[in-house]
Amino acid sequence: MIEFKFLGTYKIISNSVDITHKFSLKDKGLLCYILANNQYTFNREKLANMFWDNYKRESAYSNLRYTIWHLRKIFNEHENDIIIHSHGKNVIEIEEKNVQIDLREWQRLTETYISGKDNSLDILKKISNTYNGDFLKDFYIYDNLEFNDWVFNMKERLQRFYFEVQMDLAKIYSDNNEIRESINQLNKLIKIDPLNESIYYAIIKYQYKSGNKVAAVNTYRNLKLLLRKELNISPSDKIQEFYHHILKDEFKEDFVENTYIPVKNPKNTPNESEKKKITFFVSEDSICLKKFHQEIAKQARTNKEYLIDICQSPGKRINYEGIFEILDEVHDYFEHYDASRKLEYDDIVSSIKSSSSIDYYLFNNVTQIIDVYMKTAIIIRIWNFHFLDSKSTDFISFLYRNMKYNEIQIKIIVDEKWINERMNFFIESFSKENGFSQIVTI
Amino acid sequence: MNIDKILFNGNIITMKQESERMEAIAISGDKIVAVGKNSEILNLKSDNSELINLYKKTVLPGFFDSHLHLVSTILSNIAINCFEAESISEILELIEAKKNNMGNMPLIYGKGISDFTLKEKRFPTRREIDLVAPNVPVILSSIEFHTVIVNSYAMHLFNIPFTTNSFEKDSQNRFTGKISNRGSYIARKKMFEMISDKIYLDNLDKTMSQIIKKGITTAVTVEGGSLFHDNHADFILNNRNIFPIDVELFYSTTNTSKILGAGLPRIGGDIFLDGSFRSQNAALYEPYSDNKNSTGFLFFKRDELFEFISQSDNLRLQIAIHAVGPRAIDMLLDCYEQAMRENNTSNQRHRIEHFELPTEKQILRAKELNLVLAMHPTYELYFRGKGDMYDTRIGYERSILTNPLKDIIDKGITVAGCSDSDVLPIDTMLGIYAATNQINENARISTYEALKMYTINGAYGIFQEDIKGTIDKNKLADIIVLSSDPIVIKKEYLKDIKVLLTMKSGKILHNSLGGLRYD
Repeated sequence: MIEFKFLGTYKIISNSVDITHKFSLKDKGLLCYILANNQYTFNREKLANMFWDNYKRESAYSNLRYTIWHLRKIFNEHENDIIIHSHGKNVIEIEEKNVQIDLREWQRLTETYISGKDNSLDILKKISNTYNGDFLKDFYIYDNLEFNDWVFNMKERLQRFYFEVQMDLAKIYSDNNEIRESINQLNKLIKIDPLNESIYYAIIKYQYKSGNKVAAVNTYRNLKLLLRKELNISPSDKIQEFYHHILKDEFKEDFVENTYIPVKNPKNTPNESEKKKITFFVSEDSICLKKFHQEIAKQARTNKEYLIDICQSPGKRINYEGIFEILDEVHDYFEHYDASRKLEYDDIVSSIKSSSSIDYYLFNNVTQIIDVYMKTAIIIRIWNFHFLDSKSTDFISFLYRNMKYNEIQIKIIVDEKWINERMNFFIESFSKENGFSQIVTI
Repeated sequence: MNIDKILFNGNIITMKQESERMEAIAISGDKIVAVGKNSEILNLKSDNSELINLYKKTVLPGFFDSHLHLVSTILSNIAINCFEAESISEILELIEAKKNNMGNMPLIYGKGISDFTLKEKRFPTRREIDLVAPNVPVILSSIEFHTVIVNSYAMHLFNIPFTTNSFEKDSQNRFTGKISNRGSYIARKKMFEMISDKIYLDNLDKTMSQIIKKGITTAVTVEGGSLFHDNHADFILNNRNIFPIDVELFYSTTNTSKILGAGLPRIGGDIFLDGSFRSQNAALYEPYSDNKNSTGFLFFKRDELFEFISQSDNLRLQIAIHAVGPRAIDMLLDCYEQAMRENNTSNQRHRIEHFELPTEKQILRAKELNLVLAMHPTYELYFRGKGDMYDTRIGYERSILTNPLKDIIDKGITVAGCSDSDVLPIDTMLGIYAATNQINENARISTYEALKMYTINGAYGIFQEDIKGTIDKNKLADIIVLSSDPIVIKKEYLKDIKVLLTMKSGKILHNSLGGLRYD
């Protein structure tokens, strides 16, 4: 039995051994065309025209004959069963029972699903799992116009159907309250089509439905930045309306006072305190504030420290939103500097984003990501502290006091025009901490 | 003080005042140390001063080009130019010729393709391109960048998702190779990602030579954004020290932290509030003449635009935004006004790029807000003829109102002159010619005002008027020598004036005077 994989990277496997490298490009192209089509016999003339259309007729036939011979030779080296044989001069036949093709399995499953014989979660999962990537990903033969036409059409058909499957799967998971799994399925689509708003709309919807409003808002804001950067457009009216609905829904709740009272950490030994610094830049004068911005902006990312920037744009944050901004910044760290921990990071974030947050769980996990998983000193710059939400403010306290391993500096710009009692209390609570400094201009 | 160079016996238009003419300049290091009559300047000479006799040739401050795309201009020197091709077979011949002469380019890029100008009135197809270049990725970009045509290999490599719904198919359900809108943006980004900085560096000298020969000593380049790639802005930032002329960057991003992190004092450039007349997405109040269902498009909602402008203004960044049609101009003026009022800022010199079809009221508002307008007179040359693009798109009555330079300048607004290369050629004298010879006579400005657009106004447009833009003591020795006096010559001959010498910070970069004359 020979196994052929056409979904994702092209592979030919015999007795668990990858023998793909033994075949030429034309070998693989011909094999794929023959095996992927739902017919068992092929006319030689058609195959010769498809793969050698710029050759004279006799040469094309000769090349086809040689290729078939070459294929049989390789198969015979590895298999006792017949894979390809001929009927007379003109017809080539496949022995279906001796081959296993991922694409055939995909087609069988999708036909079952489409026909309605089975539309369970189980079959959708099987279809999804069978799709290991786009059809003949990374495989290309120059100057084979017909074959390339066929590949592009197949690729499109399969990709579009995979999209539908993933969207259906995500919906079912969401209906079953398995939000994390739902978003995992949608993230697979983002990898293929990162600018597709319908995917993000689904993510936002499911996050909101699960009660995780801040994740929904965070997804919207990232989408907005992405679309502006890549396409110079805003999110669609439909998504914008939904976003505003979420915000209205959030702010109609009574304001919850920050009850977290920061206390001096009794374990704040001199050694630990050397690792921590927090500086407040306070003014109500916009020119001074701009100078503060420029001063802090001079800090460039180095190999020794990692910069985390939050609250750069104006606008009041909803609860926990600042923490999600931190998570987005930290994502880059694992993406570019420490890929070995990325899976763990993804796992933690996924669980956070797909569930309603309980403060301690959230705070503790994010602190762990920053203090344990990131192997670098951290600088957090909060550009408009006055816009930061109360939960994220609590988190900054929590983080500062619970960091044990990495060095941390926090630089906070405060527009005094916005200052209130709560903010004063927050600043004052740090005033007795080691590593605290405050720059105030009038 | 040691005087390194003295240029004397010239006709020096200092650009400080219209009537001022001097004869000689003394230069020490990179600075002008004195400007005046021959005798007084020659008295300053040191033992080793180079004395350059100009033989009455006209001297001006080095030109500013206040809006171009330097990286694209470099790329255009290694791309196929489809702009003048008249048929598909011509395009295929260009591709085939380039295939045998690619250098280190990983693909063939063609720009400026238009189905409108080809005799077949259609784009070449993927299959047609495959026949001449089956094993090299080929991408042809339309003039306004919203459509690309690719061959099969490029289509395979770019791997644009089919769910963008951007692919055209023919009657036999085959992909034609034409990709529009969202897919086109993705294809262009993928193309730019394949072109390394080394390729730009390898071709930089040729482009710089072209720019220098046109007398440009400061290039204000607009890079990044949705139509190009942020890599281009990074390329400029990473190579600032190797350019022979001054290259100032407008980074087309709404991400202020990127700007602050790069230490840039300005943001934007080609942040598109609307599009272009050609693409029918410049935002008008009345429909297009050739499409009654369209009044163009605004790419921002007002609150989103205001959020960006307010934040940037509050950070004291100079902002530049593209606005062509009157509906876009209105929204932009509103946002600038509100932001400056709320932030209590005044001398930010925020810019509007293009400002092609303003109303009288909008011109007055721009004046009140102390805005700088970065305008492109050359568009009038290329697109304003009878039956040409402006005429076709917006009709005669509106097309005679485009680029009303005289009205704008008479109201005291600073206008900085631009080429918009590589959309149109880099050629400052051509821009000056265009500004003084517009089809609409009422819009024509004087030659002196046109010269200001490309000298002192360019400097003012990026807060450099203290160090450049005029020939004056303590300013940088950015100087050019022309083949004729543009003030004296008949306006129709302005485009024929050549730049004979270009000096940047006291260093001669281009000299075709036929050997410097020493005396």
